[in-house]
Amino acid sequence: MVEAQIVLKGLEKVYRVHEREAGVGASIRSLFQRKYKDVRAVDSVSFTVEAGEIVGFLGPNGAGKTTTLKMLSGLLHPTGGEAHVLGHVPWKREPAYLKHIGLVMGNRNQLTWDIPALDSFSVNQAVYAIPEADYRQTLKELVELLELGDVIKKPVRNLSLGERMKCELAASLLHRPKVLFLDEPTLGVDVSMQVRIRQFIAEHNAKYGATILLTSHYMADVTALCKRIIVIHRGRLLYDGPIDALSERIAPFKLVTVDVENAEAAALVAQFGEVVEQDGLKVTLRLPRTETSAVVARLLQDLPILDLTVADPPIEAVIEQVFQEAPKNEVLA
Amino acid sequence: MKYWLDLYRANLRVAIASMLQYRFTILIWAVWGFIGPLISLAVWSAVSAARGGTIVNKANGASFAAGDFAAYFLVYMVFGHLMMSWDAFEFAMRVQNGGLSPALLKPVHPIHRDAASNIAFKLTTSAMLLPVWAILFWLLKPHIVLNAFSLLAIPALAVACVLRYVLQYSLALVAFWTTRVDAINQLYFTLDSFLAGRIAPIALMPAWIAAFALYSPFRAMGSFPVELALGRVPPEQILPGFALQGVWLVVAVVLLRTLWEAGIRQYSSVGA
Amino acid sequence: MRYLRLLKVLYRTSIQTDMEYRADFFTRIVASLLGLVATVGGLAIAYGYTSTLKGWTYQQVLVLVAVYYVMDGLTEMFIAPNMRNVMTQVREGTLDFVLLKPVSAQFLASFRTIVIWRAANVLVGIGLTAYAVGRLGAHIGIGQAASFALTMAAGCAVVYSLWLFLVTLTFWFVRVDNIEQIVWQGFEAARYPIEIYPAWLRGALTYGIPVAFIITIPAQALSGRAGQMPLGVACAVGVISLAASSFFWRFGLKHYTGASA
Repeated sequence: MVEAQIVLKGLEKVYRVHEREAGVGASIRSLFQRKYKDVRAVDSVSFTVEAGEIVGFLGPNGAGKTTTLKMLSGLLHPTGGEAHVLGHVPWKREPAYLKHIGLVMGNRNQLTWDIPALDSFSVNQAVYAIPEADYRQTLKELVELLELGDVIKKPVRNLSLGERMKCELAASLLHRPKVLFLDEPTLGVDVSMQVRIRQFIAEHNAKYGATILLTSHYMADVTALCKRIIVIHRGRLLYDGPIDALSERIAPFKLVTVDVENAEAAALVAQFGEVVEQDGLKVTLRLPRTETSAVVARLLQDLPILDLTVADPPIEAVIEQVFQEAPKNEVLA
Repeated sequence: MKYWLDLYRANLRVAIASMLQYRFTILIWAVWGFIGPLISLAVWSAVSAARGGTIVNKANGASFAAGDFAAYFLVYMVFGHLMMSWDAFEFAMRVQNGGLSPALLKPVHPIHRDAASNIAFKLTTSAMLLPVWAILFWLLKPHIVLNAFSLLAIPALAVACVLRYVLQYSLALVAFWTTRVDAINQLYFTLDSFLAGRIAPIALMPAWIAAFALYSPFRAMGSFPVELALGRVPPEQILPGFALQGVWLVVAVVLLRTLWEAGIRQYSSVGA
Repeated sequence: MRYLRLLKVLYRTSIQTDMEYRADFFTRIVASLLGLVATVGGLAIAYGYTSTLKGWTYQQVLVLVAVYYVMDGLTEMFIAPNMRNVMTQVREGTLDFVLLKPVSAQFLASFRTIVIWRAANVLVGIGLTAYAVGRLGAHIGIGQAASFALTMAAGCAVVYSLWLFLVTLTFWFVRVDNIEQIVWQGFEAARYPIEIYPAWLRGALTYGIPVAFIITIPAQALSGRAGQMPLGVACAVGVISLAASSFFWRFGLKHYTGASA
């Protein structure tokens, strides 16, 4: 029986932001009379994650992803709601809790700049009180899996961005966290390195059954790793469910691409639906899911068609659409 | 000539604008210059109080009362601010982190931009410090005696500023060869404390230090203008004083050029 | 016990790094000695005209300068680099990684590194202390040595607390390096007997930036000068400042994590 490891109930974070106007006069005035504005970074978000799951946590910049991750890792106090991770309230920051989690932030480093990563690792060994044998074992595995080799013996400042990211990952995994928060782990890393890191995350999850909550701008990270995604926008939960069902539920469209014989036919295609792309005699239509088969039948009947394909819209496009239409959408979970 | 004027004007404008951005930080920096003279003044006030008011150096007859010390160290505080330069620290940093390379691409020697920002610093901070100086002069009651030659302090101060700037810049160039300029800076600072009359008027120092100080570049770019302003340089020593400033200035410029050329060769061979 | 072991690892790694810059040590020793020449030389010139300065003999002032050097060295070796580090970490947001660790954040932030070559000032200070005590000609008894050690420890506690207090301010103001500069300037003034300064500055140096407490009191304890603060009071000040600054740090941390909002 697997039990939920991450439980959020109406989690909420409201920042009080001091509004400042431009100009000297305004800034002097603000010394005496400050205007505040409440910003709801996270607005009653609830979800649960089971042990061993990898969940993609998506949303545009400023959606509240990082704020949520920071609350779950105990770095921020929420202003409302509750959360339990591994049975602990994260922001109490109990050592017993912190020992079992890891956080990787793609845009920040925990490794000390001037010394080799290996030295930082040994500091982490002491900090997390990892027994020598376990430490050796884990380190050996991590070095193999991440293909680190001698990289960990060079001062961090001499490493490439990708190498540094792999070392950051290793540093956050030495204590074998049961729950791992990954915030943009592939940010700025080149494509082949992205693939490597992705593989590693999948292997690590399979081997140790670690629960992983991942945010990324690269949809490929998400499609490769996560069966389930959680989408938030402006602090509110928009979608929580299987990644495959997202397009069905949010974007009930299919993309139909036809190759026609001549230009006149290509011009006529537009009568059958909304053209999203046209490349010479190759035209792509966006059709409501329910009407797709009927329209395809008519297309084949009325026009000189050489080739026809029906596809789901790419996940990027779906997500894009979610965010564009978000204000009018209600929670779809 | 017009080219240089325009160059300095443009650089000054940029430098002043960026100084004003960081006015608080800059001001704190400038206040650093207060500490030395005020501590020295406190020490010597205490000494003169212990000796009943006036101190006389029996070897040369120089005498200082409490008010004379206040005058000496306060004038030195103002002049010292105008003579101040911190290029050695900044230059070393730029050589180490590669910040020098873009400056070398420009068709003008980087010293001009640095000099402009040095002038900008002094202009902006002097304006800010003026009221502080006024309060200190009022509080500490200096006994200022001017004489017929006091006005000569202005050209002497101008030469001292240039001399100190050029010499410090040469010192900064050592960063081309070693990353450890700390010890060299400290050596400069220590020599400067004594030979430029910062920790005590040279007239009160032991004879052997004073003899050394009188011919050193440190006095020429240190206490010479201060002593001149307060009428403490005997008339027959004024002209030799200026001559010495001139000699050291020539030496400093030659030193700067030589070091610069050799330094650039070193920098480009190591890989900028 | 666990923290001791942790401290060992932290210091070992940072010493290993410093070993790459071995030549720094000589630079620092040279710089330190040159600085000493400037300070002591200035005093020697002044004492050429008088035998006591506001009740301080030359030998006693040498003890004071020596204590200044030891304190300054210890601060730059153990405390200041860590605290400056925290200021940068707050600015860059990497303090989060410190907070994520299952050990006391104050401990980890305060004792992360040690700059071993800064020991130069400590060594020069100890050398000068030995010389000055020799010149003093007085016999230093066990009691006097113990009270010197205790007042030094109390002084270190106050320096540490002062830094921790400053660093905690970064949680609200982000940029406090300017305030750091002011404190440092106050320190600079404390290598001379504070009695030579005007009353208001003396007050600021005693109660504002308590350099008098940090440097003057241990120096008085060692040189056996009158006007000492009772040992109990000195220790109490040390303990209280530690407790107060630690409390303030935790309060600041709460603000930082948004607990107070």
